[in-house]
Amino acid sequence: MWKYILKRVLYAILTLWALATITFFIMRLLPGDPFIGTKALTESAHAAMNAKYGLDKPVIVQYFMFMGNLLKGDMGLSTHYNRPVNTIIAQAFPYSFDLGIRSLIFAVIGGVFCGSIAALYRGTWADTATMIIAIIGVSIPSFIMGALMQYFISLKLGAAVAGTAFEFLKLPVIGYVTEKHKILPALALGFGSLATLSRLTRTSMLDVLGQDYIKTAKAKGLSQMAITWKHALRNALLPVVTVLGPITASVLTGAFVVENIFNIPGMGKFFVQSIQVRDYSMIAGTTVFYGAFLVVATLLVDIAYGIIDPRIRLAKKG
Amino acid sequence: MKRLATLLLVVVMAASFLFAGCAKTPAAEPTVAPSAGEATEAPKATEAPASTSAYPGTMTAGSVTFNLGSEPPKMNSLLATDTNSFTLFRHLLEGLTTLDPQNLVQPGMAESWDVSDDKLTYTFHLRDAKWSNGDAVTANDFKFAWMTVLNPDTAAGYNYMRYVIKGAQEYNTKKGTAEDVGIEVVDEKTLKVTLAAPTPYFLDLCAFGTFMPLNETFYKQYGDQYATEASNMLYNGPWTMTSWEHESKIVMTKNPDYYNAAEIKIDELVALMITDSNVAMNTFKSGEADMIGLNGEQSAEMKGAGETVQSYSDGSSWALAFNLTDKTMANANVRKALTLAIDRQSFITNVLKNNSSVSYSWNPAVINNGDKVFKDQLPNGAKYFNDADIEGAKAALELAKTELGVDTISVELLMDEGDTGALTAAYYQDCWKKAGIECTITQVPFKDRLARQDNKEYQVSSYGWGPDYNDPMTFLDLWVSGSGNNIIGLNDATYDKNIADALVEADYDKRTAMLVECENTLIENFYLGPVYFRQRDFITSGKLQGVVRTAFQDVNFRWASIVE
Repeated sequence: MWKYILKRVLYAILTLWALATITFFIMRLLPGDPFIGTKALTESAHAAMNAKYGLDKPVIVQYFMFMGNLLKGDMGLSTHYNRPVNTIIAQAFPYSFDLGIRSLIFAVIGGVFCGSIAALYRGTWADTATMIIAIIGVSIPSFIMGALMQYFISLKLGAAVAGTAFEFLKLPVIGYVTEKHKILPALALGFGSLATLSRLTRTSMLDVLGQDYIKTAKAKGLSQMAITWKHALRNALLPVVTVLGPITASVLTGAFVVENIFNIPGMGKFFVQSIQVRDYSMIAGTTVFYGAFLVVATLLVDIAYGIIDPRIRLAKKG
Repeated sequence: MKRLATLLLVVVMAASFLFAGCAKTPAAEPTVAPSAGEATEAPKATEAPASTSAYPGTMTAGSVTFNLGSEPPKMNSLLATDTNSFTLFRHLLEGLTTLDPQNLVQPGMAESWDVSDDKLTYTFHLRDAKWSNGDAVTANDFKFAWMTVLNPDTAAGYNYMRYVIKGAQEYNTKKGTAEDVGIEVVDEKTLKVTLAAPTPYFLDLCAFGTFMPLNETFYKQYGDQYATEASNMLYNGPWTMTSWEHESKIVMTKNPDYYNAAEIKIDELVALMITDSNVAMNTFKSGEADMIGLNGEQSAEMKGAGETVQSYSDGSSWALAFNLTDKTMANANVRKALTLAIDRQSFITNVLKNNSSVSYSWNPAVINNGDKVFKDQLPNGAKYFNDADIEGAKAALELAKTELGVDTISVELLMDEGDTGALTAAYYQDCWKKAGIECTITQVPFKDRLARQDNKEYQVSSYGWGPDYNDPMTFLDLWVSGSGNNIIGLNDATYDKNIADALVEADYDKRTAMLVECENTLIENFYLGPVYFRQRDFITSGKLQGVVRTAFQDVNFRWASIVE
């Protein structure tokens, strides 16, 4: 087990190094520089800016400085905001993380619930209804979902309940302050994953419920509760755990647009805008940070997988 | 029943997988309704009529929310070069002078000033005013700020705006010393500034964001991180910044120590940073904003619903920029054909869908020359050619073909990416096709377009320029040979001489004649093909009245009030 984990960790470090290096060189190939604007700079101003952000040195020297600082955990100064990238991430990431966790909870609970209903009531209207929701969820991107929710829930429903006893149902269009602010963004972001998970759970549950060992368990006279707990659930949720890694990734990247729509001060705007404004330290900083986050998430899933299903660990050894 | 219990169990268990490692949410802060209002500067002040709006606006008493549109990248007044930062400075800081709703210079931190007869020396007498930490605003605060911008080691994008001061350019380019710069602290309340040449717009500049004072002690305490957070900054304006949630919103609270606080009627201003126009509209409709900018479609929708849509000129002038170093574009008749063929009115009506106006000159009507409108001083009512003159374009094209010895003329149009860029490019392409000119469109990201323009890697580009100060020079000195802004590659000795002479000419009439000749040169030779002067639309809720929006004051709430 330890050998397995060690190997995974080494791969993770290698992945991050490759990510940082490739990002560093590719962003330098973008046309334009961070300081170019509609109004021309004087030579003195341009030289001072390049010197301030270390862009006056050869690219290869900059690369080693960048890697050196990265090892110390310092991602440099943003050329666009003139603030340390570390500070910006420290301020913005909690919002993205909070939103991500909320939508993941919504997606997993909702997805497992819908998928289980569909499996247990297979072939009934409940099954059909759940799967229709799933197809809608997979097909509609989160930013469209967000805009639709703003329009129908905040504006239309909000206007309908205004002045009535149901005024509490009105949800704000933007912001991320109170719990009410956080409902729509989390729903919009989690809906797609919910759909994926419910389809997966349905298939997986059906598969497990039809297994011989479930029949054996029933024949032994175990209660329905014990069967589900000991035999069905653990096996049925395995595929769900597997996709948690990729789903975390999709929730985090999907958050960029959702944050924009709901004006949430998360990482999204910084990530997207840094490329448009050629903010090198910000591009590298956010990419490496997210890269590290995802690599760690995947690593944890790999390890968790090994714990839940010993066969995986054994297979890898062989 | 059993099934249901099983189901529940499954759900709970799934949830428990997730809750492990679930972090606390960031602490919530009390919020205020947001508001909107983007756009840039414009000329004539637009005052909102007390409207019968269907949108009552935000709920918080004494507070107004507007959409700033995006995060101000740099709130350090030495480094800022963008409209949003300047909009915030207008409310948080005050320079030696301020502008009134008509953009005329009024006393600010300087109560009065004396100008020498040769118009080279300005002596400012400061009033008793305080910074938000209680320190007095002194003459040294101005000298310190202005000298820091000119320091060659300061990465200040707008350092050149201070080159009007004697010795400033020399110091900034390391050809002179700090001691020779014409900024002198006479005593704590008196500042003497000596200019390099008579500059009719110098007092306008003193109201501009880059000319704000800085408290030296406070600034040095924070160094490079000055003004990166609400608490890292000092204020001497009508409001102070009390909260800055990056990329989300800024809250400004009325400054009780401001000398003119009695005239300020709004207790709290909330600036939102919503980039998406549809989201801004939803925010406005749901009563979370009191002012937002509108795009063409939204403007039509609101007008259709019987709402009052307001509009102001942001002062920017939009034209076809021709790369004169390109073989085809160096031909005057090619440029003439391209300029005449555009149907400007139809473009504004069908593509922009706002109140922008057709332009036949480079300087817009918002620019004053002294107390006169510069555009009115141009020959033929500033109309150098006719709109949508297809016949004229065809005739010019035939001449161009003969001169160049070719059968067809085809050009490449450089355009920003995005929907508006695509529509604009397609429209121009269609106009030119009617005149018999082939056109290929190259759409690139913003920074890419700028880089291509700088490197002269283009033929025709859709180009806009906004004024820095209220004088025709802000539109004309770009095209001097060697200027970093001269993207068309104009190299005209007479033009250069006229600009150089106008910069030092003290006589109004002589200077005017030089500037008019420069404008004539630009348009009569079709170095630029004017298309339109931009106007921006916005809407306010029933709560807000009296907000001023002009070419030189993008948004100003100093005279605004809340409808009771």
